[in-house]
Amino acid sequence: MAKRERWASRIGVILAMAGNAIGLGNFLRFPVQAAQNGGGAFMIPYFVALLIFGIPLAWCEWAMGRLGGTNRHGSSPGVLGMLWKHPAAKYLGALGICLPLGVLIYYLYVESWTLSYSFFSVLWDFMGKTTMADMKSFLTDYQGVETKAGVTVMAYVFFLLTVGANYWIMSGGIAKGIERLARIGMPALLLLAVVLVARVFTLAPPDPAHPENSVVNGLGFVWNPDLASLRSAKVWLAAAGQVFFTLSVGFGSIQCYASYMRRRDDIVVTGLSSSVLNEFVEVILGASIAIPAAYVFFGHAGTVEIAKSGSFNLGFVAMPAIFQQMPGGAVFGLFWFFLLFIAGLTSSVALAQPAIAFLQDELGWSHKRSLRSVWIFLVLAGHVPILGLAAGALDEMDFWAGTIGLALFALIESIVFIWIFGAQRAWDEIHIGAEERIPRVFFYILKYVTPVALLAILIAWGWQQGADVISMKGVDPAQRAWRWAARALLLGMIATTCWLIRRAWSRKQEAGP
Amino acid sequence: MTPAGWILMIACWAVIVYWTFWCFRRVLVSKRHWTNPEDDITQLRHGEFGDDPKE
Repeated sequence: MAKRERWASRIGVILAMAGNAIGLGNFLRFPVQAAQNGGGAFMIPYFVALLIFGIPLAWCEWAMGRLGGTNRHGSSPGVLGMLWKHPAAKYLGALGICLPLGVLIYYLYVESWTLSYSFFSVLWDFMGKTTMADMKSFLTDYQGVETKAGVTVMAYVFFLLTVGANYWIMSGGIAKGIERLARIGMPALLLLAVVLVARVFTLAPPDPAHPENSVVNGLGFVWNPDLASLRSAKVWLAAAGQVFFTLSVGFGSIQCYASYMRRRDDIVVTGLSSSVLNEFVEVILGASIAIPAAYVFFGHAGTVEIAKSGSFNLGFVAMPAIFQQMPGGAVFGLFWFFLLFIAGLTSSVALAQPAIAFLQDELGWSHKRSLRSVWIFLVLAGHVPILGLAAGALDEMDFWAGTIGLALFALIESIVFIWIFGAQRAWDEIHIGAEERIPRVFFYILKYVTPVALLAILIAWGWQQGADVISMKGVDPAQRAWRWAARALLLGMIATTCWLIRRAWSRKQEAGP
Repeated sequence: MTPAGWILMIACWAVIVYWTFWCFRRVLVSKRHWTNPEDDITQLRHGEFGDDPKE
């Protein structure tokens, strides 16, 4: 039996895991979520969710992955099948492959916008487009959503370039591909983010008639607490959703990365380090760039509109307009979009790895064959969010794979690991090789609070919105075909993965012990 | 920014900065850096990482 790949170093695995977690959401989604959900008061449910879902579930995923790796299982079907000796367990693990892959299908397209906008910043293609309306029109022209084809040649070429860059990195494998990217990319990302924060913090109000449009008030826009918002369930759900999204729990990618560790490698301090690095980037750096800069140039009313219009508008419409009004804007524009590109790249390779690990570990395919198969699928499936962008196919995939799917798979992981495998065994498993003991209170949080809270979120969603969302109530009938295509793609992926799981286990049974 | 905003921001930043430095200090002073002695990856080129499982 050939030797399985391993991470080369501890700092490499921390940076790779942090790279997995740090993505576009840290810089675009978090500040918008905070501003829309009570400002500084949002941080209270955010920290609660971090302590009762985020970090405990991340430790569980690290432990499950490391345990799976010792038996050559790098993906969820094998890991869940090990933890729960029931024929259904491995099929539940199909979600741990399809969710990250489902997100990756559209994520690669969004990542390609960051690459193209990096080039546009250098070439100063935005020149003269200083209003939000101009930049919005620039973005839709670039995407080609109003053209007959539904995409422009330029957007398609950048999509293929992004796909190619990801392929090249993944072809290096774990240590020479993903770990090397993290070792170079993460320090570069931190450096670019610090430079951008320093630039934003030194911005003076551009209009002397409006001295209130200052960076300090921009920070206030994010941090001033609206304590009344804490009474809203929506704010608590938004905080839980942000924590899931930002730490990448419930995706299966942490499990997969952890499977390349050795049995006695510490996961308590290592796991905490990567989660905390993600929080540093999100709460301190992420919240200090886009919204405060928007406040300086567009004032309070303009920033309210930007925050309401969502993350993509903040990143790809408001920010380019701001850079044109800023001294040295071309350079800082390049820094901003390249920062987003690195953040996207370190996440997208993590989203692809569970599928590759599944094909290698369970079907016995070579790395090259697994990689090629996954990439051919990604390019073909990528046409659904690309061509159906205007009809909301990307949003549909994001909702099912990147929101509801995460909570569902996190609940499955939590029940299988804590309740079926056994709470004490799970606790002991987490502590193998640990350099620190986790406070015992987390044992009870993991056993009772995390699964109950996850179940409550899913039931509350099903009760309040489930029927409307499933039946597409209020969705323009013209958009429904593409949205159904997105759903069919995700369901087809799950069905195909279940078939491959069946094939892999039959093959193993035929081969014997 | 209101005083409550300042307090929340500084408190959150302080907790996260302290937490980050604690973790990284813990990792960097640890003697367990896991550089795998069995795999001298410095000798590998991009794309080389040992044998694949047999198909």
